[in-house]
Amino acid sequence: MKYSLRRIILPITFLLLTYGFWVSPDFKEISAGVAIFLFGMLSLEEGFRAFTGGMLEKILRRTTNRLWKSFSFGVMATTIMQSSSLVSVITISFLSAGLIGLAEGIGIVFGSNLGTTTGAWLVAGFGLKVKISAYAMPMLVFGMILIFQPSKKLKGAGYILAGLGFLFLGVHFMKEGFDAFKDTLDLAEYAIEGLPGLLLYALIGIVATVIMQSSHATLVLIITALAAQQLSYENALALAIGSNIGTTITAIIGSISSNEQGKRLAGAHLIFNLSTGFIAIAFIHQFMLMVDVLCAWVGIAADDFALKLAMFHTLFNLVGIMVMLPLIGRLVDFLEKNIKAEQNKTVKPKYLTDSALEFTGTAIEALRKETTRIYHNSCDIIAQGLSMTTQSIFSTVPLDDVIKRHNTVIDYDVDAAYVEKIKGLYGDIIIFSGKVSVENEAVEKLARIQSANKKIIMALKDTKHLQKNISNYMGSDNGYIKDEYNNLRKRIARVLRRLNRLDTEQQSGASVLSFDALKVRLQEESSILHKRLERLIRANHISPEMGISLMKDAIYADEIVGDLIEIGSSLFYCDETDEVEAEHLIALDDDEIDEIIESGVSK
Amino acid sequence: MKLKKALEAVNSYFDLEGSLSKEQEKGLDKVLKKLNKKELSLQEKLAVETDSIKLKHLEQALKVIHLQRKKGMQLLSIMRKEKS
Repeated sequence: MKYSLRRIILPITFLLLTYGFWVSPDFKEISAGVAIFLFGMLSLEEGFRAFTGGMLEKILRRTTNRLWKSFSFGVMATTIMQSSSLVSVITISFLSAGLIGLAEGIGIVFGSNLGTTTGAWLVAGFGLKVKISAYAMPMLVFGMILIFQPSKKLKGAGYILAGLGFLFLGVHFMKEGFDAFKDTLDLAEYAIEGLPGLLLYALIGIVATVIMQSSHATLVLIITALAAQQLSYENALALAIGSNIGTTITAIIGSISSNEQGKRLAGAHLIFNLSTGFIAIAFIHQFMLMVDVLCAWVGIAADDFALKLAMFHTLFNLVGIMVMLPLIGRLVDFLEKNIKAEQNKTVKPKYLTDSALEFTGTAIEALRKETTRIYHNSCDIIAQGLSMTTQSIFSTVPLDDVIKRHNTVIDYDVDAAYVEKIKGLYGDIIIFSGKVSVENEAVEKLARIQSANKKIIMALKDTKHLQKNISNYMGSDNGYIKDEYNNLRKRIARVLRRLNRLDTEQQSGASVLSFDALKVRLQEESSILHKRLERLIRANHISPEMGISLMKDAIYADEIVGDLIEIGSSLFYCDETDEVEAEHLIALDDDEIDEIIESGVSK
Repeated sequence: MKLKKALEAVNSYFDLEGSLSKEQEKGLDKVLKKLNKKELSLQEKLAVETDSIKLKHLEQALKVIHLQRKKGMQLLSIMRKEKS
């Protein structure tokens, strides 16, 4: 049904437009203006995407830790990029990847609603008063030359320049079209007064924006029509209110492929714009009066309806923000209560969404967060595989006491836990990694995350091997072998505890390089254990069979702690700072660790 | 002169590979300075430490930092040579 409806809509639209073009050349010009304007928006978005590889992410990470900061970011980003849609997409992407919280995301959306009103000012104040098509031509030429450059950023700058050129050209065609249109047909004759007019035109505004997916395009169309006196002022205001509500469609579409956080953000966007729309409609006369007063105060002529519309657009968005901003906390509670995360027995990916794939930075961060989830799950499996719990390992109780407390075997199926908690996620990570468009600077990061995933799987495999003998010897009558196996458990538990501390206290000044000292210490302990083992066998304290098992299991334990350290250094320190990257470059490899051990300090 | 500097800044911004290696160099420089400070503070601690186990751990940490610094300095000099 849906598919056949879609198949019919497109040809009907084409037929209607063709008929319209045939009947009225002015309508053709206006439509071409809208099409060029929309193409300009697409080009502008493409251009700004080229800069999202680093700069935008860095700004977003640093400027969204407080509500007022995220609000300001929304205002600034939308003012500069002139696209609330792109800001919405970026915000959903960051939210899905877990880089920002819901309250901060809502702050950005509120800010972007205010930022988008600058577009109306630009078109009404500059676009209609200056012959902007004269600026469009050189922009298009320079833009195109830049688009053909090999540098990604130059290409991006080219798209931005060409995008602006197309926007200007689109506004020019719309303006010319409406100017010519009024000689043949006066649309203002169809103006509807009062509440019915307000509601009908608001609805038209919603529909037009949903179709064009750009409130900017609708608003420019309204302003140019208003300037050509093809629309009554009241109806234009209603259209602007409608376009404000219709613009939420971009966030709604964007959230379809995102997780519950993205959906909550789209919900917040819709609630905010609907509330603002209702306020504007309910108090339309008060708003109009306020616009008149403010316009007279700043020197805008009483008959300059285009600028008055821009003032109205800013004013009602500002009022909406003032009303909704104190309610953000309640809005977050409401959305979290009503849009819930999917519950499932087997673990599902939380961050690997299509919207996180929009930008390389968010995709990498989503992968890192998902891998960290796998790591946390694997800590549980390793702990229980060694007949302990993460709760006691991560506590402040001395590890000797933890081992003493957990002196009975826990019947735990490592394989079943792997299938339930790891396997599915790991598969999703592999699929997601294949979809990430890796750029120069991201190659290393992606490789580190992939390596961390492999190490997790290897550590679990070794835990499974180790579990068998630990279960056998934990209750052994031979105190020597029992102690040695408890030493292996303690060794792994110590690394898990240390990593947990580093994971939860990442700001404490520790770094990637601090793992090297840990590696040296553990390797040294390992060689001590092997020497002790030889002594135990020679002294007949343990049987040769026990010795062989212990030797094999000591190697498994070595591998587990080695893998865990690698996982920690790959996952915990991931800030996009040049220092972290440099630390990864100079972190010591296995040969260098051996060099330190052999240098005799540790003897 | 100002124009020349501005042009260089614009060029380096658009030259992705160039700016990447510059960032790496800057990062390495910062890390080496931090390691140097850490090495000095460890040496000070080592001079006053009397406990044999703690002494051994400090010596070990010092060795690690020394090797990390050596590796970093080698990398930095390679980077600078390549640049020139």
